[in-house]
Amino acid sequence: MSEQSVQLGAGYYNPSISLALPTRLLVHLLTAAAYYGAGMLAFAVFPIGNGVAGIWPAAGLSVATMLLFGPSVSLAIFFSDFLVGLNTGLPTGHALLLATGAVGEALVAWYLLTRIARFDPRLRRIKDVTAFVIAGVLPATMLCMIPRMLLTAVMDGAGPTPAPNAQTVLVGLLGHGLGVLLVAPVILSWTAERPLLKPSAEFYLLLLAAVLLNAAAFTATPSGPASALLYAVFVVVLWAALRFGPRETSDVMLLTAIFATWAAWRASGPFIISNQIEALYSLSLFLMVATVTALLLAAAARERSASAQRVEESELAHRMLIEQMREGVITLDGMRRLAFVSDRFCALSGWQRQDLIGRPFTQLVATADRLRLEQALSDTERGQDVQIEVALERAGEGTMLASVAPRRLAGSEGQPARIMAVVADITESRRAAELSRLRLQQIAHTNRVQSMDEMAIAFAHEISQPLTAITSYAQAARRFLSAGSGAIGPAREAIDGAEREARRGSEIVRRIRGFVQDRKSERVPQVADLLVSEVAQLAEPEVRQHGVELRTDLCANGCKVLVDPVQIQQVLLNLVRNAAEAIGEAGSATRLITLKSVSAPPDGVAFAVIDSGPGFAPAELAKIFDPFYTSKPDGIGIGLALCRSIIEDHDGQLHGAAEPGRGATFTFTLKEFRDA
Amino acid sequence: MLETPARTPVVYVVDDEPSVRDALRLLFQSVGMKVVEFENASAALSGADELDSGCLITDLRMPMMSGIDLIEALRERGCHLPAIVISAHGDVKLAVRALKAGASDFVEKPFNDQDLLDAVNSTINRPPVSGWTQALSGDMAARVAQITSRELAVLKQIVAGQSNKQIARDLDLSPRTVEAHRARVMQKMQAGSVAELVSLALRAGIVMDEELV
Repeated sequence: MSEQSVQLGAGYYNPSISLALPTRLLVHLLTAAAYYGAGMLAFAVFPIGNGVAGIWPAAGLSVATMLLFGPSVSLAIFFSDFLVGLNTGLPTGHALLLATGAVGEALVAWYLLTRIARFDPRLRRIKDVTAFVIAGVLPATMLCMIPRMLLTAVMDGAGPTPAPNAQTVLVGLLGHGLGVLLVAPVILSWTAERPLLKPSAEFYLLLLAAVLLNAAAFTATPSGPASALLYAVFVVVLWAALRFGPRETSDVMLLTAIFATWAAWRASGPFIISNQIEALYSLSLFLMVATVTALLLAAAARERSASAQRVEESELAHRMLIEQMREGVITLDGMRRLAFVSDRFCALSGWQRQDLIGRPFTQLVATADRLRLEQALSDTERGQDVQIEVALERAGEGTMLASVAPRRLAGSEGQPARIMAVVADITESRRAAELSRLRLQQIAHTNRVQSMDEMAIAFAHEISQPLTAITSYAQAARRFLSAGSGAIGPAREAIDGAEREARRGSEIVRRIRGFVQDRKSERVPQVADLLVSEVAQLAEPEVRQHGVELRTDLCANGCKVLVDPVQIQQVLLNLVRNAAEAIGEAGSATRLITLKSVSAPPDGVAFAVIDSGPGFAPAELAKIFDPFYTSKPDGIGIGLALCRSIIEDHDGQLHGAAEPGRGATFTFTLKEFRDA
Repeated sequence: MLETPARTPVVYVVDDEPSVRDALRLLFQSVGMKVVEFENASAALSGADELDSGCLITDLRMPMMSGIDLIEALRERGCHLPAIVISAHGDVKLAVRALKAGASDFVEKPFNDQDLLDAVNSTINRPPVSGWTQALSGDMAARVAQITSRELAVLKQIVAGQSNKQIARDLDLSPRTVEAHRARVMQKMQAGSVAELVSLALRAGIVMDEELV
């Protein structure tokens, strides 16, 4: 056990005093010697009687060493106090009792401060100072006074000192408290704080001022004008508290206390009123109030500078964060002028900071977007979260597409709101999105052409129906006409039929051409039910070839959707054709496909393709949307992947659900379009 | 025109396409025939008991029940009304199956009015279906005799519904040669259309039922 770190309470600031055994013994001896010295000095200077001295710096020594080195110093304290008791003429029993009290005092302070108050000995926070006074000074000194009060009651003036009274006990109590209050902070702060290796000139100046002012104040005659110099001591205390810290403040206070005590001993200075007891009484009160005030002040100053430092650090961190962002950050004042612009924003916009600060933000935006931006900023001021896209004028060269997300900064009441906005350059991502949409468009077109290729026979059949009818109508008309004048009526009927069928034929051709044509993708409002019924017409011939019935269930009640009609029809057509093929291959008994459109409150329109085919297993469902996954021998597996991309491009989602043997259902929901 | 309605031959038209039914109705009316329309096979089947003498014209491709199914079902019920199937261009395979199922003739859409009327008339006037495959006239034998073995191979393929390209590949000929063979076969068999060629081939016994798809 050569080394042992001093165990202090959890949460207690550990000054990490870890000492080897010989050093520990030395520390205990020194503590004992210092305690003995301080005790004898106190009795030499202000003996009051019955084991009570006027001031008791030894109490501070015992509390501080107990806090630093733990309860093991109790022994040293006990013996020293016992010796002081014997040497000042107390009977052995009395001396033992008082020594027990002295140890108890330190132990109580140690326990309360470390185990309960979680006290930091550097006294940097107001709560540490408060804890020190309330938990460290008051209970301990009160406790220590109990054996003395007992002795006072029984001793009845015996001994070398004057008879005690209540005031004597009170002065003793104040002296004890003062001892702890003055001495312990000095020892604690010097131990706990980083050592002062190279004291500044100001530190020496502070000490010099403290010495000179104290000397002047306490050598003055009590009623003389120089006694007002006592107040000047406060200037030094303030200096220490505000410019230095708890350590220097407690130093100055101890210095002041030494001068005050010396003066009182010499019976001079401002506290000499009538007798020694009263002088000690007022002296102790003065020093106590001054010390507590000074320590609180030093802690408050330290706390303030610490919090100022925290604010500064956090501001620095925020600033670093802002400059690290890919987006630019700006703040606007109440007049919507730029008050702050991040470096990144300057880089994005190409403007110099000095060109930006103070400029109305809307001036930076293309004229066409200004009204929208003003509107968005007004919404922001009302506390709404908005995000808009505007064209931002770059310095000199063109514009950039920017996404602006403004937020209201918490401001004082009645003041126009300040706004902070995050500005992102979305020119590139928008271009990429355009490109991928263009690619989708191309793939979609290829898919349509391929579908048409596959559906050609069905379409040939479809177109042959009106052609057959037309031919037969024409032939019938010719026969009626050549049969004689009586048959004009039926001939006209036949010609009407031919015309009707010719129109129908050209309608089929128009539909096919419209579907296959490569054109720019455009979003237009479309009546959902009409979209679906047109798909049914396109798909019907081929579905029929598979011997499957196609039904429509149109329940969207005229709801509109904003879509690229051809692409949505393509999705539905792909789904219907897949279903027809599945039913055809499986040879299902029920051969039915239902194409459904239905309004989906609150603001959607749902589309569904429901088939009576073989369905598929859940495991397959996970794969069907993968590109190049196909269950068909001649399929390339792009159909469903494309369908999903198209629906996602329309901000919807394509879902498939199926049960083996019970058919499959594909659904998607699009947002309903409402005319403004 | 229709002075003795009971004896007027009735043409029963089964087609899911209203315009085609309507056009056919006018066509047959223009030559004084009575037309009864059915919009699908099951409607015709449920009216089977009332199907009188005359002729059935049915589309091949219809949802739920095809023309072939209809003919088979009618035959099963003992109704031997002669039937002509009509179908879109290129449905040779189906046409052959229909003939096999008991159809008397096969006419492609769009119709030549005279061909259709001739088919209807000859069907109505022809004795019941039972013996037609045996009725191989001397004239027909003469036609078949002209066919070379290579042409016969091509003919069999045509009747099986193969396209020129497929025939060329199967017989290892150029498509042009196949075309030439085809033209000669049509000419020698005196067939005006593939449908007629199929009918004639079946009737002549060149193609056996088992060879058909």
